[in-house]
Amino acid sequence: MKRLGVAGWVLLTLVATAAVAPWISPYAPDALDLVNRRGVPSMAHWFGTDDLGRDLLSRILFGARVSLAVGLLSALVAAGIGIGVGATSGYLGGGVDAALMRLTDAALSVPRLLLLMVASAVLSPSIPVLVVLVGLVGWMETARVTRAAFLAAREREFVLAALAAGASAARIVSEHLLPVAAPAIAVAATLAVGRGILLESALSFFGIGVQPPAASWGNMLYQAQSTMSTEPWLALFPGLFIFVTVAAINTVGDRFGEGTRI
Amino acid sequence: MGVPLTRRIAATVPLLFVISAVVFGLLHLVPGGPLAVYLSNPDVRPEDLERLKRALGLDQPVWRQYAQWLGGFLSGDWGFSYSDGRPVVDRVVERLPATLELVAASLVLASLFTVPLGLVAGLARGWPARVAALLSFAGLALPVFWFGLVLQLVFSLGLGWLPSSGRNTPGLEGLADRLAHLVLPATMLAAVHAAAWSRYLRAAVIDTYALPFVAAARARGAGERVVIWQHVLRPALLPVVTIVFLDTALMVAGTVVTESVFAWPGLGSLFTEALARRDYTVLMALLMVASTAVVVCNLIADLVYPLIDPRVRT
Repeated sequence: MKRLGVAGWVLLTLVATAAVAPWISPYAPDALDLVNRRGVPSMAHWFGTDDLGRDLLSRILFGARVSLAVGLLSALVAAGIGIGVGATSGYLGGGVDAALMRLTDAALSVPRLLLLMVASAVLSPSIPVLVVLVGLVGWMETARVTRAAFLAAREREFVLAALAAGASAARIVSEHLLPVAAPAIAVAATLAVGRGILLESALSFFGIGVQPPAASWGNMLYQAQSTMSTEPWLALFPGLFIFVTVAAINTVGDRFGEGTRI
Repeated sequence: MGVPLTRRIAATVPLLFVISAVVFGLLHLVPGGPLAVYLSNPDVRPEDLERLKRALGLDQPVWRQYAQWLGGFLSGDWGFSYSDGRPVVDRVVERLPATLELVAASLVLASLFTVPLGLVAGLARGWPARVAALLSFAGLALPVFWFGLVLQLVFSLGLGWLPSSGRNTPGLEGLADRLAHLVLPATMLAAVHAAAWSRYLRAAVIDTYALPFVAAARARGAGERVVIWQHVLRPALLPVVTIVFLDTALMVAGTVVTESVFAWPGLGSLFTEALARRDYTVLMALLMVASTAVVVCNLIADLVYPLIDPRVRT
């Protein structure tokens, strides 16, 4: 494996911290401490406490689990659909290709945040449903890059040779075309993780994403918005975590891109 | 010019039909449908609900409702708002100026940020280039709503320089007051786009800088300033202009977040209000407006490109 770089380490640390959150977080994320409500950041509470006296650092650590999981899993959903659509389109070509690409264009033309807001306001989704919804609006980029890679690879000699040797369509797609498309797909999927985290946090910020008492970085900002003038730390820290995480993910995606550019 | 205008437009029309069908289906096929809000209201009797359903045409099959909606939409009858009974067209039109003002201001701001950031990131050496590249990279990872909150926190609540919400101070109508209200929301909306655009500009500037005509201009004795502003920046801006057109439509959609943070009375806040009250006719109209904006901006970008870049004309 290549050098991780700062972004890779940041990301790894975040994921590891989120994974062991129950063991390292200083307090339970929903433990009330009514004496220390709205506490400024201190030695006992590094990031301060919220209006119910819950420790912000602990909530951020537990919120990381939700935010990262939604980002990662929704990107998986998006990549799955995108690869399916793109591979079908690029392999079959012709009318199917034209129809699927029209559909992709249409999907790209609906602003995804708005569509997602409508869907989640109407459905009031649980976290797994939220993952699917975020994934459903994020497949288009992966579909496009998969199709482009398939189209380019379809005419190459090793694919023609496999065709001539009588290989089945499933075999050609999985053994010959997908490996060629993999690097481009990896970049698109990585960027989808960052976008998924931003979308989840935006939804939760509007109060229609992850529902309290569960903590996500987005819904912590939603709750912080009303008390921003008196307790600014409640708004600063969760957003900072979203920002750093997405920046790290995008950097890693960029690196994939540089590594695969031929 | 490449493809004739009529064929371009003909290609986008089916796209809008697909979008409208998908969005309509989403709104009407979900459990509860458009009247879900009334189900939990004890004052609404079941027979009232039936009457409402018939009155609104919701007892018809979905495809027929869609056909009716589509016919109305195309002829300018966008139906009536479920929350206050006024025509949807009126509600949208009265909010339009505020959103257009915000988007226009953001476009100007974003362009003002883009050029220096892209140029410095592409052509400078050492730390200025690094800082510029870092800024545009950071902008792309920024959770927009949080950026808005931070702007509010620093410049309104902290320093007290700028107002934190609304389009003007009640009772005041002066230009200075309007501009003061515009600065923060426009900055918030512009940030992400300026970041993306300056990354494109940076790449274009680097590519252009290596081209022979730049060396030729320098060989003729043109100063570095002339070379950069006239020979490098002009052609490098062309691809960026296309992106700007494409992104303008996204800015319109982005106003939902911006207008919510800064209580800006435009289409974005109309969307959040309609969402909270499940005002389906308004939501449908706004989603169509936003999608149409995307498709139209794509079309404009396609059409404008040959005008500004003679090399594409065939």
